[in-house]
Amino acid sequence: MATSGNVLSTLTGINGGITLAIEVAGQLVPLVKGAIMEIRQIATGSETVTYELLVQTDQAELGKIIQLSTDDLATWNAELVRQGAAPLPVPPVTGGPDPGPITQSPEPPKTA
Amino acid sequence: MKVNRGLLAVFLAYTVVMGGCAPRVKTVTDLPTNITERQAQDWDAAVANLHKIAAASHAIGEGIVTLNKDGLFPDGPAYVKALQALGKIDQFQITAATLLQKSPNTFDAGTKARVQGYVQQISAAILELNNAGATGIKNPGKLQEVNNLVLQLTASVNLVLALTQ
Repeated sequence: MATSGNVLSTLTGINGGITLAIEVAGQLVPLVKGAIMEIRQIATGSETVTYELLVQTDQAELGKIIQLSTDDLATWNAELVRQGAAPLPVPPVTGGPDPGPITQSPEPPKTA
Repeated sequence: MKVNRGLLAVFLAYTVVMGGCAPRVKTVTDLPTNITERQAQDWDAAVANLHKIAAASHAIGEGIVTLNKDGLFPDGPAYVKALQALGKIDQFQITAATLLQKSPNTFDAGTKARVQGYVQQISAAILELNNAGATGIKNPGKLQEVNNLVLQLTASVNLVLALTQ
């Protein structure tokens, strides 16, 4: 399964010549060709980037993390159901309030 | 419950050794006036290491389900506990990522502490996963493979926990 790291690696292997866009908060944000070099810099962790590009790139990476985790949770839940155990709830991710303090973090239901 | 003592020992060693966390990006330019470069670097480091945690936990989960299908981690209470631990890890990954999405401009000590709190709960779930694997995985070689993946996961967890307060 592709991860955001794989996606970044793929993107950094592109030598320009295309219009690149990343998804931020559900919307595609176009990036100019020169931005590919800056994404490479973020992926390799060695250079200078603007704050705006850092936030755009990391927001896209966080979106991929949430998608991967949600997909994985669905897989484990299917296995739990097959075992006769209760599935775990998926935490709210978009459009909701701030996740709240640690004491309000999600607690999966107890199962037998 | 049987405990995988070797893995726990390495887990503790990582906890002691990982005293710092190098930023992924050396220099951040065009910062808003209310944000320091260190804040931006720490937020970026938290994102990077949460990504590593998600990739490692994904690999571990796929490995455990494959072991079950191959009959090397049989159905039963230990397998259920492993799945529940994996589910908890994903729940806290989602919650931590959601918080990070909302906080690039407000990654102060309080927000950082909350992210670390979620990651500490991931760490607790890793221990539950470790215990379930030690109990349920019958093949020593496969158990070692899972343990190696858990070590990668633990290392990334500790990098987030080591972010400067």
